[in-house]
Amino acid sequence: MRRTAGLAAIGALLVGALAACSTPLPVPQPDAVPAAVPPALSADQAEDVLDGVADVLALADEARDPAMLEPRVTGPAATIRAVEYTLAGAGDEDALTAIPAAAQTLVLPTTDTWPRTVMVVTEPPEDLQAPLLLTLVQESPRAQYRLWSWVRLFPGVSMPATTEPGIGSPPVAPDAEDLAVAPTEVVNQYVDLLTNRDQSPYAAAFTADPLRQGIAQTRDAFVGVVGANGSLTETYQPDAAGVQAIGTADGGAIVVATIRTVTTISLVDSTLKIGDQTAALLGTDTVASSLEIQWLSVVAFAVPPAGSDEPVEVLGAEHSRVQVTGS
Amino acid sequence: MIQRALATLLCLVGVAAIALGVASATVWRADDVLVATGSAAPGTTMIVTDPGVLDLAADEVTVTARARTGRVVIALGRTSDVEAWVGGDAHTRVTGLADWHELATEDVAAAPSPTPPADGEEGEAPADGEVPADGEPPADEGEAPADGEAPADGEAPADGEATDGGPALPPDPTGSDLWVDEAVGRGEVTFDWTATDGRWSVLVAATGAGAAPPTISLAWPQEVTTPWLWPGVVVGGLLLLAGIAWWVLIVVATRRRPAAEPEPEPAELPVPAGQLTRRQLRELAEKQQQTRRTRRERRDVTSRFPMLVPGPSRRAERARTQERPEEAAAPTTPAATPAVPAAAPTTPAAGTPAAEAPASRRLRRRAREEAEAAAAPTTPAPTPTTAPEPFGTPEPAAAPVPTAAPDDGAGEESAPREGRRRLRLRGRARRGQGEAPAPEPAPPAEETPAPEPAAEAPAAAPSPAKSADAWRRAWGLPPVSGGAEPEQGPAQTPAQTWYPVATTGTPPAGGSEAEPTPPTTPPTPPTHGRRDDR
Repeated sequence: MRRTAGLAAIGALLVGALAACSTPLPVPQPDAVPAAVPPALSADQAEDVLDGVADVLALADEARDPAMLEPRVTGPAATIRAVEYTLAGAGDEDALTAIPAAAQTLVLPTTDTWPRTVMVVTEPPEDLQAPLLLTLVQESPRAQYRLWSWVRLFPGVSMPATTEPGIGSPPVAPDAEDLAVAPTEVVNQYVDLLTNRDQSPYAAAFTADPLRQGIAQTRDAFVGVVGANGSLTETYQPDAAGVQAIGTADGGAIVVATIRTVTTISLVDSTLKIGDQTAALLGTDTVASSLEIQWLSVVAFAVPPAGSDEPVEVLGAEHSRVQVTGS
Repeated sequence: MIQRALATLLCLVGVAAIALGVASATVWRADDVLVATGSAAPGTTMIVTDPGVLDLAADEVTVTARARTGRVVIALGRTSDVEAWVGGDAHTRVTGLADWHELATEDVAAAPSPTPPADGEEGEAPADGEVPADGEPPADEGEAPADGEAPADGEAPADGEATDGGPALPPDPTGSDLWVDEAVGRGEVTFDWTATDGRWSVLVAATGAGAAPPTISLAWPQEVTTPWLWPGVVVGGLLLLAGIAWWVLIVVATRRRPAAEPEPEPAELPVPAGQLTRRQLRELAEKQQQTRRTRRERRDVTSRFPMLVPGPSRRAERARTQERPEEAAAPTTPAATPAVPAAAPTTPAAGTPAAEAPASRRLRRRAREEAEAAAAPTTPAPTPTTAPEPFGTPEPAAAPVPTAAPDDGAGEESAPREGRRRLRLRGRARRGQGEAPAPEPAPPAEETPAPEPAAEAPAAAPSPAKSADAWRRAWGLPPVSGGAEPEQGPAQTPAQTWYPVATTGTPPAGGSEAEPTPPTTPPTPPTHGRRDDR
């Protein structure tokens, strides 16, 4: 009896010793999901994206082949770039907008959903030239970031402060409520301003900007040319490409909007000699009856946060003929 | 029996504990690198690690991906990005460790909802049906709104792969902007990562036409500790020692019992040595009676703890040895140094009368030297050259020795002392038998110098009966008048002394009387020293 009890005790001891020898398997202990969503990209990743874009642009520029832009360029940028290739093919040396790959400021979204919007202020392409505001969009997880638009910043504007890339900027929906003006509404107001000029109720809501002046001057010039020989109408409307927006440090947003301007000229018993770029797109430099020029404008706005009395500032724009038809 | 069993058990447990301790540090020692492997479910091409898996066992991990055919890609990204990229496609999740060499995986079926063509896949659904695909819905939601052309491209291959096997290719994560880092290669790719804050995952994907399910290995360097080695060895060693000690005790106890039986022999052995005095016969009878008594006693109390038995006899012996120097040395040389008394009582020089005490220091020293010389006669070297010189001069001083010897106080004491001295000589002789074949010649050598043998001769040498008596005493048999010794001692001590004598022959001299040997050694160095001085 004593021996069996002793053996049992020793057996238990051995089992216990063996059990104690086995270290427990480590278990995954992931960091908690952060309360604040981190930026979707790190600065390094953003640089890589810009390099990828620059590589594709370089190749496409060399071939002047819009199809080659597809992997990294989309939306208004692809449209405008394609026109530039056409112009360049027609002999316009300066048609291609230089798009630096080097970033001055990265504005990275704090989001874990798609699409994602990144904005980048580039270094000035050349001395005394304005830096560009690039907008890059990733439509889905398996898509790449693609250049959606670029905008030449107007001289003298100052970019609204944005948070550091490491912290990230909040993404802004097109119908965001927490801005003085929702992004889509900004475009509508600006279109009204273009259309009605000083009579627009939103005249005071925007700072004066070179784009508006330029559009007005161009229209006035055409009107002067056409004169009594015909009629000229010009319409402005938000483009189907939509808007992109990202938050700024003060709670406002940078909104990049697209506006399509359609200039229609009807001639009565006369011909119109048109300028180089339009002619290059049309293929001929004179039209006898009608001419329709479609412009695509990419406009960047700095929209103040809700409750602010500040006007919306126009930061920069790209205004480009994208389609010319006529006969 | 129970004691033996328990002692054996103790030994075994000790050995087992040592073995376990050693095994924990050798056979069962964790690997320096913890490598765990998992593979994708059949028919799928993607493996995703859950957040926290990459730094599961160490901050540094080496990810190795293998695919039997085609390219294999390892992509590192935020977990949310990786999951979003994989989307609703069938894949395998690595959720942790299943054991030390295997990753725990969970197969996730392709989500049927996002793309219409997936609904037609009946063949794929049952295969994946076993696994809940609950983890993925959020990713699907993230993907759904962005349902542009890209997701359609991405999902088409997965569907096609399962059914029509058309031109569709498995999804290829290579080059996505989502990845923080990636590695691409054929067959096998490795990728190192150091843990950083946040939730991170890797996506392993086999790509290309006919891609096979890839495998993933995660290797973490480990700091291996062996916490059970020393505790096991120490505790086991203690147990083993305790067991062995117990065994030894048991063996000693059992050996003593048989040893007690041949005890009559020691009583008989002296008989042939010579005619015994009546007193000796009486002592023998007493002793035999006592041993019989003790044997009976032992039979009665067999289970008594044996260690206690030798106790008293040793104490008695020690008491005897302590008494002797006091008795012998005190009267002779009051100012003697500790070294002297140790040697003195055994040598005849010790027998110098109290009257000599007042004599000059020089004399005393000489006497000591003589004693030492006499104590070390067995070493053959000193005898011819050194012995005469010291002995020649002291003669006048040493002369009183013989005269004093007779009236030396304790007559009974001198006898045992002599006996013991002889014994010592014998012991030495036995030990030195190799080099000095004749032990007995040594005493003659010392007999030639006048004084000491003179003291010895009258007492021991002449009568054969007396020498026999000395023998008896030498073996520890009680001297005639020893008060305490006959009563306690004989039962045990003779048994101890005789037993070895009978068997081996050599050890008894040293074994029975432990004291003689130490004193012999100290004297020799002085003789050497003296020679060196000169």
